[in-house]
Amino acid sequence: MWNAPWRSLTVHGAVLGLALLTATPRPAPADIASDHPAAILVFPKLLVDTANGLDTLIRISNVSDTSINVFCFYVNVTPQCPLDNGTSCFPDKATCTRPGQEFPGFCRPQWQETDFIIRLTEEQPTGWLVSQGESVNCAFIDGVCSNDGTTQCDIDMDCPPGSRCVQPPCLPLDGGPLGRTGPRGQVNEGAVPLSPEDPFIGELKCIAVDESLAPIARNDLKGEVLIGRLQAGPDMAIDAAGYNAIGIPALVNICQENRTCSLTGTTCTSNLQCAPTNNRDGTLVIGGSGAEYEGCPNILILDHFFDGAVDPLSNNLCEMGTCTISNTMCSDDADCLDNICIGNACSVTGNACISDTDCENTCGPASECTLSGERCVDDDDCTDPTFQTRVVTSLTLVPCTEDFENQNPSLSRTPAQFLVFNEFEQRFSTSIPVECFKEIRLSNIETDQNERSIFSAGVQGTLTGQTRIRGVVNDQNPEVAGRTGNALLGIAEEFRCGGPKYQFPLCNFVDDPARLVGSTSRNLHIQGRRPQSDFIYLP
Amino acid sequence: MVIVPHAVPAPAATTTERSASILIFPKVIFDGSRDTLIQISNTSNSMTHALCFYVNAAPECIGFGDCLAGTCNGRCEPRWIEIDFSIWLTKQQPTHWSVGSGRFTDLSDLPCDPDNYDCDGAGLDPGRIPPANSVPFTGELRCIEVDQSGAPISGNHLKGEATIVSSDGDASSYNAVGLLGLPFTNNGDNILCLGGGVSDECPSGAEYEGCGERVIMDHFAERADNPLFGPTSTVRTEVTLVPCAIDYEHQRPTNVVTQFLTFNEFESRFSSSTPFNCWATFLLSQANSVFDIRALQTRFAQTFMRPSDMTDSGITGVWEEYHLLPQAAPPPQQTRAAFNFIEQGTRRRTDIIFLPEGP
Repeated sequence: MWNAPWRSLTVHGAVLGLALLTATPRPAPADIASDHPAAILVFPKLLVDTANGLDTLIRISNVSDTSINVFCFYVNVTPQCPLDNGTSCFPDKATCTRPGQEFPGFCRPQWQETDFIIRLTEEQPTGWLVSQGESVNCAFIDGVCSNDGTTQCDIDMDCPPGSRCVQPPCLPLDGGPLGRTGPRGQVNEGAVPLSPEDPFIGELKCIAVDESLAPIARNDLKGEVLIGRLQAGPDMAIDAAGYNAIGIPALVNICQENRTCSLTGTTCTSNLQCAPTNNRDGTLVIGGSGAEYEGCPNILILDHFFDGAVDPLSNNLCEMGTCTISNTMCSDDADCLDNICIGNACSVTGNACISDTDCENTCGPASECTLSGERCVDDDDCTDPTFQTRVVTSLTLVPCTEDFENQNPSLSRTPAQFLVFNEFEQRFSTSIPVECFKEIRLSNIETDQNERSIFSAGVQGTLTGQTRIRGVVNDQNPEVAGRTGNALLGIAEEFRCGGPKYQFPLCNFVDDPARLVGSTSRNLHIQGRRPQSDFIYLP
Repeated sequence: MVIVPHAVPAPAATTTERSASILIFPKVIFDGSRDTLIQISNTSNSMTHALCFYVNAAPECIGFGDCLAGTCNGRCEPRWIEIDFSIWLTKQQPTHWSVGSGRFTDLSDLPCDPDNYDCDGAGLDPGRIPPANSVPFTGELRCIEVDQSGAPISGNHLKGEATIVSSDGDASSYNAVGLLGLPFTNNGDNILCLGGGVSDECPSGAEYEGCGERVIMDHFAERADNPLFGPTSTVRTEVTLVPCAIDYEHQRPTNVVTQFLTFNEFESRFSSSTPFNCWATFLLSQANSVFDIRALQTRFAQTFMRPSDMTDSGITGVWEEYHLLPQAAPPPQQTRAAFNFIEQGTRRRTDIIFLPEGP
């Protein structure tokens, strides 16, 4: 953790703040959004599990022609198992076990914060893998040739024609006598650490600061995230889902053309006469009275498939002897839907077989369907094991308020209220507590039996819905009242899972990834602002 | 003390996260291997109507053969065929349809139930939505909030998303670009004024927020590797651009020259430009060779795009990344991810959408 100011750097920060006051007139900043540059970036969900080919690529850019320092905070929420040698709690298991112990342990999140700082030069983009980080060391790290991915190299000339030398991500403007600088002599500084652990799930917040780590009202940062999974081996597959970082713009009080300050309304002839709203201390005020940054949204809105809905666009068809989605052998389209025995394994359910009869879901002697396990009286009670591609959505919510100084999660704790509308205009509601981070399938919000959830397509009756999400203001608790606005931010991920009709889709990057057909992420829509302030308390 | 000059551009006014009065879905594809699912919601507590326009920009072979397959023996010319339809949504109602199939009012559509999760079409139908008017369809969809009489209004009640799904189930999605309607100035005529000031065509000034002055994207250099998938992987970036101004009445295509300003990780600056009419989708490598990893030299780059000074329209769009990983036998593994542009600044000039007047 950086407890001391970043004194090793050349001091420009103080003058940068003053420079903002002399900048050209401009209207008031935009709302919180993922489509505009901002002073604070929120990356709600990061995932790392390198043993299973899972990692996250983060990209950040400086969109201005002045270098900028970026103070970032990983929030590690990877749950821990309290039992020695217990099973993994990653990413969001409720309980864990240990051989020989009868009672399970309850997984507990960590809420552990790790911070770092980097400097981006003018208009500079950068990116790193969360599992690997990056630093100003391009000159000292080896690459590998792009043709085989194994031959070590330093430069492209070391690789065969047509291939090039690929280095891991690094900050390239290292300065120094033999190093490289930007056209105007600017250099990168700082480093991004490795993810605190592997596997890892958590959040990243990045804040524009000066060299003394004081927050600075510069809306010059933008970012993107790409969560990817590489399945190696004979069944090699890749999948990626991307979203834009959510930007919280700083409020800038500037002298407008009508000679009034944009935020305070006082008369002015230059920006110097407009008092800055950002006092540049360690408490960042987001919205409400005394705001230094735009306020967080009152409502988040998500349009989504209801969980379990059959995707109307994904059709498993036979093309050139292979099914387009399941990749099994076929002679016609029916082979891609029916559960047939191919090479001693059923094509949809994967169980061992000798003939197609073994791939039928029939009522067994114990009144249980042979494949699905449903209770039955006769074969008609057993669901057909035909192939379907179905959709399940995961929601990630993070609080606007975070206390990195005192590591106090109670400031971020709030019930999230959900208001759900289906395509019949019918309204449902439910709620769930959110602490520092919540990543959950929609159909697990109010139950662990997905089929019975109000987010299940079988319950709602329509394919898609609109859900409005609101963090409840915790103004009843005197310990936190006035110190948090309890607003929420988030993203959604949509997973398409292939499998038999009787199986509710539960696949994602971590759970049952073999059934994962495709994934995509999206930013949530927002509505309104709340009068209360949210806060980020810096260490 | 040295004062470092630092001019901060004005924020853009388009939105991909707030309900708006005009929704633009810049990339809509139905080409046999991909289809697009459109989702639109009414975020208000009253009924909302919208007038939607598909613009099919798929190339047509003037001769024999297929332009997309590269077998056309004549010229390939974009169709620029526009079709429109209206939808209505009850309070807070979401709806969806696939571009390839459209959506028809069918009272016999059965809702899902615990034994059946396949219920495409269930729910209150938003009206009859035509399927794509030809195969392939590559173009855009624009929906404009109107009142019951069909006059444009500044209700800001619409939000939307598009998901492009390929035949292997891979998907990418983006939020529709929204233009906020302004209160008091919308005169409800067929000339929609985006940004800018008072003019002959816009006597009450801007009726909607204007488009951004420029759009920004962080992207991989063309054919660079993606560290997520190893050094043998490659990334291609496909940019889709549409002009903010469009003339549905006279069917005049909007000509745009887009200027690119690109910075690599060394802070080196590259510039290029490309013209297009009405709608364009292209790999960065097709726009200019400077986007190639051999030219850019670094894996990541940042590109600012703006219409040229002489262009009479702002631009907006989306970008989609194709991540490829070679395997022992072709084709390579592929996955896609789509992103909305970051926008910066607000155009000072007015962009106009001319709606057809009707009978």
